[in-house]
Amino acid sequence: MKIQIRRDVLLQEVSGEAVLLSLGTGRYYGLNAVGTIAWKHFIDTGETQSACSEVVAHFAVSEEQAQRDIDAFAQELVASGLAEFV
Amino acid sequence: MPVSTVLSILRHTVDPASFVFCARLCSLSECLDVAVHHQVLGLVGPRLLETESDESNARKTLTSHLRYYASHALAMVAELTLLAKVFNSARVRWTSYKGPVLAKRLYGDFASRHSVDLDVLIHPDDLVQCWETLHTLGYEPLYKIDRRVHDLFCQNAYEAVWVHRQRRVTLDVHWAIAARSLPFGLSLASPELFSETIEIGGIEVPMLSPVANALALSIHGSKHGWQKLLWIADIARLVRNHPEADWSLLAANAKRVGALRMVQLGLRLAWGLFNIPPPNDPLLRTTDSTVHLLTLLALDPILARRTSPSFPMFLTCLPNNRLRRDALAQHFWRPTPLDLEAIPLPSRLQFTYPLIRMGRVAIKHVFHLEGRPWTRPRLADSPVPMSTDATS
Repeated sequence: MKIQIRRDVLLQEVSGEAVLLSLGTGRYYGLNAVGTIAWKHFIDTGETQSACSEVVAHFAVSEEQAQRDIDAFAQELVASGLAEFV
Repeated sequence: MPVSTVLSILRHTVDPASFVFCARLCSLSECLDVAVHHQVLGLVGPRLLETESDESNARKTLTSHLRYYASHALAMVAELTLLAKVFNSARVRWTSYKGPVLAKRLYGDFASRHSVDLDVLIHPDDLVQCWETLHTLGYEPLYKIDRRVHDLFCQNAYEAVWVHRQRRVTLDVHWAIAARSLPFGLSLASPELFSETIEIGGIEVPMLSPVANALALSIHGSKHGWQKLLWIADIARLVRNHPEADWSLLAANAKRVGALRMVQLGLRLAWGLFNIPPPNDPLLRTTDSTVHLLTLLALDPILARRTSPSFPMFLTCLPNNRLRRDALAQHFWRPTPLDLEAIPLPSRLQFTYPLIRMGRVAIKHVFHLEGRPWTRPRLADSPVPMSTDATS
């Protein structure tokens, strides 16, 4: 799936995790380490599939589970108005 | 030892090509203390967390600081983008000044330069419009300046503090970077302070150009005795990141406004502490013995964590005695916002302000009859609430 992070969402990384701010809504969100890696991958490539390879390289997780969780994470970002599927 | 450790990490942050030597024997809590004092915790904190230490309390404090810096920086950026929209629609000419925008430009990270306040620079002709705009946004001025002394306030002061109590923002509104009676009291009306824009969250936010920033930061650092490593790191990073900038313009502008020694001092400190040589311009590289002396005077308090004699150093930076007299007059005779708020005189009596000012200074310094030490009132910091965790 192709995903595009909204331009008005800012990320601030802290010790491998991150804080997000949506300038549009004024809401803050937190990302854990996996979410932060996935987020940064989405920004760089716009791809959810290849994000899986990146997290598998860093965490003890199977590819199948990683893909399921990354896809669910992407859905959650879109539902929260932080990103859009393109 | 902790200063050396912090400096070593900071050097690597400013120039990743430099080697980091971290003394493992150094106390993390002492390093934390030094980093906070020099306002560089945002820059060295992540690296400090990576060092081996069994000081669990210090680690918790450090992590907590960094998390707070991250949230606070985003909150300040949000406020800045709101101000950008409002100022633009009200046709207030402005630019962001220092703060998270400079942090993003220099270090790629909004939280790398933590400051409690948000700073903006407003064109001096748009001040009234700016005040009205801030009122509509819910800001209040920290000093309640009576309308009888408002014009005098705008002439003598060059910044005013506004606070937004609900959003917990302290906004420093500058209309010059130093006293306007001095030639380096530059404003957005000055050709030396040209700006460009940076895109933040889809919004164009104006900021000073690298050369204008180097000039403004040098003046600011020299006014305050270069007491903070952050100010020197900023100069080093500006020079390192912008080899393409027209640094000869910096030299020419600085010389024209009487700030050349300030710029030379900042560059020399950046060279000495961060190994970033000055740009290749004869004026910027040539220094006189006064600048050498000032460099030593600035370095010693930094490394020994003492207070530097900032005002005498600042006077020494000035190119001639006429400017020194003007700076002294500005410091000792011109009424401050506190003077104007406390004693708002009608225009026919405002000529007495120098006497009032000298009297207040005398009471404070000569007769030691000051009350409690004055500290500028500040809103208490409050962590920004975190809402949804976007991961499952």
